[in-house]
Amino acid sequence: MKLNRVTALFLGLVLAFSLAACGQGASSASASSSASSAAAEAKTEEQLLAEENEILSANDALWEKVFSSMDKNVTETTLSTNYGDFLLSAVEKAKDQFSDEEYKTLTTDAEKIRAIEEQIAALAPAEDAASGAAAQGTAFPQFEGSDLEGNPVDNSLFAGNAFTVVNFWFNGCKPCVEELDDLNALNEKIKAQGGEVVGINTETLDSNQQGIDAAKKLLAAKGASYRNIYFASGSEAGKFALNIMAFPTTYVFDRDGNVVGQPLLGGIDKEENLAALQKNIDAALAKDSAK
Amino acid sequence: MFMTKKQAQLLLLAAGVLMLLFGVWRGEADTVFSKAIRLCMECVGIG
Amino acid sequence: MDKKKLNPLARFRGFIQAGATLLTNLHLPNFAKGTLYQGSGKYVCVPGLNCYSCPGAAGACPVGAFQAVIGSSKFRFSYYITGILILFGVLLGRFICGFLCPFGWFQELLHKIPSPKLSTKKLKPLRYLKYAVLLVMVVLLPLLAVNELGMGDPFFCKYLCPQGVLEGAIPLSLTNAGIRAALGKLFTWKACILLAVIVGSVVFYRPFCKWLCPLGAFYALLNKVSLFQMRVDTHKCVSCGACAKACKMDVDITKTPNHAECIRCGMCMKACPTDAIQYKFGLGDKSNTETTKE
Repeated sequence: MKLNRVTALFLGLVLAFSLAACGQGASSASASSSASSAAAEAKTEEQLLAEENEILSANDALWEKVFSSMDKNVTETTLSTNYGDFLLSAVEKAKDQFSDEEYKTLTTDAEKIRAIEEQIAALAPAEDAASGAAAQGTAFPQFEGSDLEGNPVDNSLFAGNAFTVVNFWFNGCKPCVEELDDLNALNEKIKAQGGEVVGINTETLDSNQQGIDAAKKLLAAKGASYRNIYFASGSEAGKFALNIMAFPTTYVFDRDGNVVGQPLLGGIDKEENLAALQKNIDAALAKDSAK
Repeated sequence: MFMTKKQAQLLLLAAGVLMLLFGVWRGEADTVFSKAIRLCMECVGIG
Repeated sequence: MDKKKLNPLARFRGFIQAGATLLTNLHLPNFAKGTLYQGSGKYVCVPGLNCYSCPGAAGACPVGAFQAVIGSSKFRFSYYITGILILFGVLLGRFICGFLCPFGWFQELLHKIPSPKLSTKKLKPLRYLKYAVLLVMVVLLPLLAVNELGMGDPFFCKYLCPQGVLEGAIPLSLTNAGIRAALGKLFTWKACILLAVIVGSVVFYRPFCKWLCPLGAFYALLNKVSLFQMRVDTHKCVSCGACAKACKMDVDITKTPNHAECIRCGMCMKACPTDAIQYKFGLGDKSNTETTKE
């Protein structure tokens, strides 16, 4: 009897834990399974390519003829166009070498391949986005947002500066808040070099009013007057920001919005961290003046 | 008379539930969540 | 000895510990990816000591969460976490330490490494250290040592907790170059603590639980009133002393069946020749004679 109750309780706990685990399945599926879904997509792409090869090898002899009739110089443009279209035009050019029936099989094969190529093309961008996010990105994604005062901001932000220091933070993060005054000092210092410090507070995304109010208070308390911006959390830039796990993280971007060096984890109120950031800044400056 | 063990247990269970609910009501769970989903660098000993 | 009657909980404790550790850190692919689980499970804390900065962690760490709330500028006390801990403590007490805590299991596994084993009986006064850790590092310092904005540091996590290094810093730094670059003095200090706990666990049984763990301290305070209890049948007991000898937490269960240090591991039950010791779960003291009113 007692035992039953104990087991029941334990099972209850197990259930609670597994429910918590299921919650993840639903809510963070996008985050945690992005890599696995990318893997799944890669697989299907492989499968699709295999299908193409099958189609070609089914009428091996005919296709050999087509290929031998082709120009040897395959240009960039032919590579970037749909392979099915490319084959179709090749078949069209070598039309007189084949009987009507042969011509028909070749064109239907080429049409099939074109359809498969379209499927692959549809897969590709999704996969790029996922793997790009996983690698924390090499460029800041396109975005349209605004600063905490409501002024619109977009990617042209980067073009206006020789380099841009982007600091990711959130309100409840003590080390983040403690470096706000140092970031402000840095902003004043790098203005002369054409640089700018921009803050992105992940709690202000989607113009979350509570988060913005709290962030403004903290910035004011720390005497920080540099720009802080936000955008939609569902945007590519939002994903970039939410993909950041350790706070504070400080990136340096060049004029084209590309990441320079390794992002810095930790507050620049620590000397060694400031030195690491300065290295990235110097690299960005060197890159910009070399242009 | 002093409380029996059973009374103490019931009282504590009730207190636990009430504190939990009060804490959720005033928004503590969000603070916990925002800290728990991000890497707390000073917590794990980085830096 | 008659082992047939041994309570299955005690018999399969190792499996339960493994299962609990797995459930607490369910998001295994995150270890390879070097990311944290960010789903709604993190609103709730797990019963054992398990870092929420562990890639696999399915929930928040109760000690970390408590300090996070107290250390935030918005709150000075965490009713939420205290409430959860009281519920855990009253329902299960230090059963959590013995069965559900991943770090407890970790120490036990280390203790299986063959080596000379030392008794902790003479080190009993050190037990009180964990209450000081709870009071000072978990409550007072995060509450009082704050900056001008009322934000405090999680002192226990930051300066003492070895679980954070084991589950957080080490796996994350393996997969993330940025984190590797950020490892500094604090990491060195905490890696030393972890190493000390590891070495200590090989020669002593659960040294961290006995002397330092603030979560264990909190559950210890509630162990006497927890619904999950030990019961010694005085009619069956032959006062042979086998149970006290078998107890690695240095408790004499015949004298104090619900001692603050008892983690309900059941080693005394295994040692008892007459099956006089049983688990019981229920309100009050005498669950065997308990009436239907409950």
